[in-house]
Amino acid sequence: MLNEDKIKLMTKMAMYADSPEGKEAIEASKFFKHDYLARKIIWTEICVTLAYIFMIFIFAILKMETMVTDIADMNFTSIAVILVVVYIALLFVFFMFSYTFYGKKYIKCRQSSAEYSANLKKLNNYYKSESEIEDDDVFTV
Amino acid sequence: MDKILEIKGNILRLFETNEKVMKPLIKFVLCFVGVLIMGISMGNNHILANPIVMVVIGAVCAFLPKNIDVLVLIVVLLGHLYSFSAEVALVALALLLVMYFIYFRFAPKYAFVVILLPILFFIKIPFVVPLVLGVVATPITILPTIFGVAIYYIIHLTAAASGGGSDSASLAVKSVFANKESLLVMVVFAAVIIIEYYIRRSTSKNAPSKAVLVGAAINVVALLVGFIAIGNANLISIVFMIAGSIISLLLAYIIQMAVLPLDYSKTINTQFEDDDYYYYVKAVPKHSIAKEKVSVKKINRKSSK
Repeated sequence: MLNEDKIKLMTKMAMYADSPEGKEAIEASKFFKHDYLARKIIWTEICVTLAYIFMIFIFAILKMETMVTDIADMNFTSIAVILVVVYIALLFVFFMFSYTFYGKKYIKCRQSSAEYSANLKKLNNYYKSESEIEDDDVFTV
Repeated sequence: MDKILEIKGNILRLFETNEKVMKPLIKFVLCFVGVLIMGISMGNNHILANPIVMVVIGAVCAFLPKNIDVLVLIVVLLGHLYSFSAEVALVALALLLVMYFIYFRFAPKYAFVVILLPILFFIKIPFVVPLVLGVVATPITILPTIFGVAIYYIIHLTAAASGGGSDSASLAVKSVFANKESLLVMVVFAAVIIIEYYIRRSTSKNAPSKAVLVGAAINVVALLVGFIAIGNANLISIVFMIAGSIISLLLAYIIQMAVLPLDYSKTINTQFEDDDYYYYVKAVPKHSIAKEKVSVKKINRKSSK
């Protein structure tokens, strides 16, 4: 016999697990908040580093004519210092941004997956009650 | 308004009942039109500008996820640029990668704006993007808008110049960062998005419609004044700009009024199993658009008993 309530519950859970929001929430729920934030922040800083390299490339093309004509007069030390300072500032800004962004996202994911967890418990209760009924039938026979 | 919602509901029902055909068809049309416009406007790469290749690209994109479609269109754009100048293509690629690493990782939803804007620029209606984004999105979408404008001006100004080499790369970068017109357009688009966002969030009646109208007015006035100030105003460009703004306003108005209010939940197919059965489930959303009430006057002969 098909249990309609159980099927409705499983359908709801499957739809949630297949949705982009559900996938993200289930993925986030596997980690503690600190671990989740650490992973995201480290990956963000790597991406910011790569973006910074491309930004320097674009800036170098923009200033190419100046660099070629005035290369003898350029103070490479000060240029290097400026590049490093800007890089550190960029890293810090994105650290703060990603800490806030992913922190809020984690909380949202946990709230979203709370209903899914409650449904999991309900489904578990269905299985338990079904196995109890089967055990009763065995004893009755 | 109710009539429009009813029509919209009917269109949605038609779409849902034929989703397997309609969705790939719409994606094919959008991607094909995008590739076609790039081919006609740029056309540097003879392979990518070939109609058969365009149809094939559209057909392939019809069955790919949305973000992959955007990637395919970006590759086509870079392919055309590469045929013109490898250095310009490299600059455009660097700009897109910067965009990806600092923005799209956090908010990939509006990634398509970066490729949509250059395409709409080619057909003179780029103003649709800021007008619509102002009412549907947050001001953070200013970033992909600015990058979309940058990509267009790289294509537009380097194609106008001749030859390749390192000069074209330098010209490509200067066409974005040292070009008054591109900076003006970026500033105006950003202002339109922000102003529309705050008008839309107000509690006044029909706030989104008002936001679109105000946004369009600011767009036209600011660009007109700006073009005159930087000395780029000529009659043809002003006429194109005003005509493009009017068409964009109409499109944006229709989009925000007819398309956006709907909370479209598509048909979902899912499957799962338990110990006894495999379940293949199709969930179809219900729509509660009230149909027009029709009163029927019945005229009956009184029956005498």
